[in-house]
Amino acid sequence: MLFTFLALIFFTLFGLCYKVSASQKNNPVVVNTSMLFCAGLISLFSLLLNKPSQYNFTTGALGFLGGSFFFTATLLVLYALKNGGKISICWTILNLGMVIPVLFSIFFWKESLELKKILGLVLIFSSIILIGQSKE
Amino acid sequence: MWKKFAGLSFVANGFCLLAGKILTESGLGNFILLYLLIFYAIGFLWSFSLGLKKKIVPTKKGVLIGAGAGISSFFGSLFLLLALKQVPGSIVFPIAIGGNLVTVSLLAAFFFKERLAVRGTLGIISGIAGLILLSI
Repeated sequence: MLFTFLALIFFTLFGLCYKVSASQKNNPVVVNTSMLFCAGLISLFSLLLNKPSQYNFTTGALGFLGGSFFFTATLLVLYALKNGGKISICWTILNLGMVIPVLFSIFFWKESLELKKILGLVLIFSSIILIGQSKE
Repeated sequence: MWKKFAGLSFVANGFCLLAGKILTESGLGNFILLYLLIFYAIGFLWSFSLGLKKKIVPTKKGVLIGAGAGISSFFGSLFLLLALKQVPGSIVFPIAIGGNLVTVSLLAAFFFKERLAVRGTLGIISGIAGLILLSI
C-alpha cells in the first residue's frame, strides 16, 4: 500500500499545481506542454540511469496509446471549458474515468473484493460526485 | 455541447489509465520507465504541435508551474504503476486517482482559503472514510 499512498501524495501535488495555474490564469496548453516535457525528461534520465538492456514493442505500443489518450483527455477538457463547462465539474468527470480500469479489474481480471472494500469504493465515488456538485 | 466533450474526456482518461493496468497485467512491469518515457514523449509531441498550430507564446510562470506538475506527475505515475504490480487495480485507482480529488479539495480549503459548501464537506468526509476502508 506504500506505493499507492505515495502515488496519492504526488497526484495531490500535481492537482495543486493545476489549481495554482488556474488561479493565475495561465494558458493550459503552455502548462501541459511544459509538464509533459519535464516528466518526459525525468523518464529519459531515469531510464538511462537504469541502463536498459532490452526494449519491448508491446510496452512502446501501450505507451503510445496511453500518451495519446492522456493528451486527448486534456484537450477534450479544454474544449468542454471553452463551450461553457465549469472547471470543477469537468475535472470531476475526468477523474471519474478511473471507473473504466476499476470495472476491467473486477470483471475482466476477476479481482475479488471484500464487502468493506466495496463500501470504500462506493464512498470514494460518492465523494467525487459530492465535491463536484459543491462547487457548481 | 460541453457535456459531450466532458463525457469523451471521461472515456479518454479511463483508457489512458487502463493502458497502465494492461502493462502490469501483461507481465511488463520491468518496463515501467520505458513506458513512461514513450507516454510523456507522445503526449508532449501532441501538445507541442497544438501550441505551434495555435501560435501560443509560453510564459515563464506557465512553464515553471508546468515543470512542477511534470515532476509530480512523473513520480505519481511511477508509484501508481509500482503499486499496480502489488495491489489490485480496483483498490489502487480509487485511492490514487479518486483520493487526490478529496485531498486537493481539503488542501485548497486550508491553503487557498476556498470555501466549502455542505456537499463539499460531506464529500471530503465520505472520501476520507472510503480511503480508510480501502486501505485497511
